[in-house]
Amino acid sequence: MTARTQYINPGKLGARRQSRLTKWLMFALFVCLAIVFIFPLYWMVISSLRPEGRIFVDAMEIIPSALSLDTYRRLFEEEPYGVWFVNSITQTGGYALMGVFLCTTGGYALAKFRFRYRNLLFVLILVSQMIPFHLLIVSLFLMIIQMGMAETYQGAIVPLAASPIGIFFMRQYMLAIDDEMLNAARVDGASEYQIFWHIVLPNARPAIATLLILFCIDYWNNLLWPLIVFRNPDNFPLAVGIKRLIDQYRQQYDLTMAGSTLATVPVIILFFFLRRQIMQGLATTGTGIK
Amino acid sequence: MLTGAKRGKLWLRIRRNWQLYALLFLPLVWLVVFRYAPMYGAQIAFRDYSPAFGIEGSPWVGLANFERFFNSYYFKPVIVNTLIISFYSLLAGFPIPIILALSVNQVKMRLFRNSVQMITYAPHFISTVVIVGMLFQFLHPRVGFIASLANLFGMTPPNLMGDPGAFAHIFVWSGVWQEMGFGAIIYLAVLSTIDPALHEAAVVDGASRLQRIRYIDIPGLLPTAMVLLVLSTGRVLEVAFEKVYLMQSPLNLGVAEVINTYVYRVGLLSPILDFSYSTAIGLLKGVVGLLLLITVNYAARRLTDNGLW
Repeated sequence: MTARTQYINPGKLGARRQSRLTKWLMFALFVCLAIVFIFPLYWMVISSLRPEGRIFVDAMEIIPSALSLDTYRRLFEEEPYGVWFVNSITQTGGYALMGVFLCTTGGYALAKFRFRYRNLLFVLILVSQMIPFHLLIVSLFLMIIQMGMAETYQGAIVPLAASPIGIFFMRQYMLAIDDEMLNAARVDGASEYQIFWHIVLPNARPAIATLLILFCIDYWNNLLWPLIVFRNPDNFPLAVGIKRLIDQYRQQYDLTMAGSTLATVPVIILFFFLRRQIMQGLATTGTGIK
Repeated sequence: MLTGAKRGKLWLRIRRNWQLYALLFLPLVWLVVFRYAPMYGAQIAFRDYSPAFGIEGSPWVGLANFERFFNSYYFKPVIVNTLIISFYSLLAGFPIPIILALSVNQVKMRLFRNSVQMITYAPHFISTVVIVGMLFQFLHPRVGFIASLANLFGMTPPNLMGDPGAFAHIFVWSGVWQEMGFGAIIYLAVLSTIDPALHEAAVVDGASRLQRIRYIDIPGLLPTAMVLLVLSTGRVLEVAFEKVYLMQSPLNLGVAEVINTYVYRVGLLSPILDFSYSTAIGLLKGVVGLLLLITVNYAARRLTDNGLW
């Protein structure tokens, strides 16, 4: 690299001056980018922290002169926000565990067993990903009603749980697991169950973690399907609850902003700490789960 | 005898591999029940569905539901709105991630690269509801940031969310804000696979930075870009439902009603739920989308030798 720089700029001084200028330019660009991307989030947080009576007066201040947690108190007292939060955690957890279970078993079977029609099956699984969800909505909704799952957690999570892309992702990962290892275990008399539990799962741990995270984010942010399934506010997950806040408080966004802040913070924290797993998942599936 | 032995073998195979079938069983049942079976239910597009008769008991009406949509007052505005919003999104949303990836790729400092990537793709993980809530608040004529900015310069703050003319711009550019970093990930991955020797040779030959981008990086990205372009053109009728739906208000419905929200409104929201009608529109959209995908892919193949298949 040094050799290259010297080749373009034979004068050492010139090179150094240019690189310093580029550095400053890049730094300025970076600050602009950071402002554009972080400021809206900052605005959301401070809007939720403005004291109630002063929301119109203080709206002009970019750095607020007074902060208050009052909005958050109202959020929990006047709206069932706590219930929504718990609903979101329960539903997201259930969805992610169920989805990961289905994708792991399916992916393993497709990757490590040879059987007739395997490729056909694999294609059929991938094709089902291409069916637009909007085409299925009405039939799915009718089905949920028939199964007696309307207005239940099961109704919200079960129909979404088997993700074709998730199965594809697990299969790709499982392909890399060494067959020798599995065969050695079989020779030693391990049952298929033991092999799956003690060899396959530990080896696939990174992929499982990635999938789990992506599924969690997916459901946490999902609005459409829960919006259809639930009518009773006591069953809402957060996304549907926040939609209700937006509809109810059209002129005053403090509650909406407080609700949004609390719903976004867990995702951002998760994203920040687990970005490597998330990136790995995205690189493998190309466009992410869903 | 032979068949008996064969049958015995088959039985033995199933018994020996029952674990395999156990593993496969659940995911398959799931996909059949929740992905393929609803397709069967989509036949109500050709029937006059009523809950009393069920899917198979409702009378066939042929293409009546489709004709109703074509003759409907909403047909034209809904199609026009869908096309405007999605082509605008494509026009802005397609090149920007490529530009971002090309510029980030120029930077050699690891810390800088990683922070830019992290900051730009974090918004992807924010829920659509939250994004729209933020838009409402941010652009609000009294409490929003736009309001404070306008006041600072002594102007009357505009009511952007209520302005039908601003709807498409707000929709598209907030989408670009949210997705550009995420979209750049895949291009950066492709750029990292380009052989550095190419760049070194170009530098020796005296190529400038821009020339190297033009003649090395962009051709390297082209196949991926074409595939993504074909895919997004195939989805041109699938305007992001959640976001449009949340951004709609009586003030902007004239420009904000798209196919997906219309399907939802007539099928699941209106006082008389019209399942058949909304399924028909959904089916029509799916078929047109598929045809578009095939056409665009064909064109892409002919023009650039790159495509989905």
